[in-house]
Amino acid sequence: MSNLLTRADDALSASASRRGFLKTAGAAAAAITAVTGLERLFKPTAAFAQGAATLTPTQVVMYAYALENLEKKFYADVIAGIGGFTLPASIAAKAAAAITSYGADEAQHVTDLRGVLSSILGVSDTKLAAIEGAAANPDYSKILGRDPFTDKTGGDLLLAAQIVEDLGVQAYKGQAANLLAAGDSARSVLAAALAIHSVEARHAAGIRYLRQLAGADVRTYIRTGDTLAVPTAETNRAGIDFSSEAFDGYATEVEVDAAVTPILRVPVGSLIALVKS
Amino acid sequence: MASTMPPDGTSRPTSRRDLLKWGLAATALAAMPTALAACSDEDVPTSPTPTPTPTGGVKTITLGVDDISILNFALLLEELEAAFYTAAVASNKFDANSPEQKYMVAIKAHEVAHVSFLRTVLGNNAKFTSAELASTLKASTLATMLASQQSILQTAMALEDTGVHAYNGAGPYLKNATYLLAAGSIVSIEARHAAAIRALLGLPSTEADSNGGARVGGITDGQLKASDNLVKGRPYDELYTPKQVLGIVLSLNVLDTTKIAINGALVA
Repeated sequence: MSNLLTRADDALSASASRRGFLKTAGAAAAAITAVTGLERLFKPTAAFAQGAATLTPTQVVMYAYALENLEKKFYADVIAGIGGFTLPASIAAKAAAAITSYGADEAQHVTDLRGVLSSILGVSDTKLAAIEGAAANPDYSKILGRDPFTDKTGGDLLLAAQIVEDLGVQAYKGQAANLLAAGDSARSVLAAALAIHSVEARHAAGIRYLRQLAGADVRTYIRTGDTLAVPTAETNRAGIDFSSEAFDGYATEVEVDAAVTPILRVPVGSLIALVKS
Repeated sequence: MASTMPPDGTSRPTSRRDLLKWGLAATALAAMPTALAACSDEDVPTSPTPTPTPTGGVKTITLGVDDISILNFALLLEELEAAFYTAAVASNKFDANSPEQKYMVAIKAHEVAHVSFLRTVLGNNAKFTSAELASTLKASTLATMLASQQSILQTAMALEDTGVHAYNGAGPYLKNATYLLAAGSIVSIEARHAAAIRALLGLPSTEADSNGGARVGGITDGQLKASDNLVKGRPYDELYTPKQVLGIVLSLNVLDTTKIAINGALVA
């Protein structure tokens, strides 16, 4: 896969975003910020600064559980179909190993979060089944605006994986304040969320590195112009310069919800509505 | 907190003035009365200069269990990383156009930005200066770390993996939600660095699931603080206590302990 092709690919993704949820952190994000300027800049910060616990700790774990189920299902589908793809020789073996490893990690997250929800937080099996059902048959075309399984070079699959992992990092980071605000009773949940959060970042980085090896203009960390489900190019949210490569962005549950609800099959309208129901 | 602007007057959008709002915002939280209590309890030096180096030449950094101390501990790690990558880039052990050198250059810039950010947040509450810390680094150890491509990458991996466990472990100790967000915005960058270095070494992105050895510092499951590590193993970056992190840092032998001492309740 050549550099040029990959860039063209990403450009195609950017245009597809107007139909799907994909956005870029560069020019497109600047345009979005210009349109909704004050709202985008201040709403999330205000929500954060007020410590508005819009999700309870139990709801945070349910929300994470849905995302982990989606990731688990995605990797399982990729592994199941990997024989039908012809990845560049430079990354084929590494990609297979990484996808298998990350898929196992996500499966373990699912198992452990289910245990926490069921045994510690007392969430009913019915509720858990509803969340699992929402992630059982994802509409992957909503990630890139096209079916990532169509591209038999695996390029779209890796791009989709990158976007989903980056979103996972943003989503966990965005819930840290909710968990902290809940006090000591949520400390163990916060600890588990932190322990998962940085592993999602390792996954995102690993996928990004594979794409770089295959010729994409990408690094293990997010740079301006990268494709993201939730753009975080806005500077100075909560006093932190998230336009800098050195600081990884976060996403609120509202932002994540808007990105993942179209992928999930949620009968009640949105993921957040489901976890709050 | 002092209200003076830092003398460096950088053009970065995150100004000291902006960051001062954090404390005000946090203390205004009806939902977080502990933040107010924590701020008033903080051991804030009134002197505009950091803890002076006592006669005898040993720089002593005393860390309590409070947000300012935790940020100082993070600053210590970031200073070490910044110093290491600065030296690694300058060592020219990698070809200028190699992926390794490009990552070294980028990671150095990130660590320098983290140092700058933490110093801006801390202002006069920083317990040591960059120059003070630099004067306590062991040149002989640094030279060993920089001896080969392999030693540079292995050292980088140890520093990054340690940084991930350190920020994760410090997270639940923090009282101020915005400090937690800042720590979170840094820790996932450290994790992305760790994964990059690991990839350059031909290793998996994540630490192996094992008892002893494979996890940085050789911290075993039994040594982990149980209440903060309900989940552990390869799919998780376990939370190390500040004491465990300090132990790893000291084991690197890069700090000359005849010149620097780090103590206090946080690392006891």
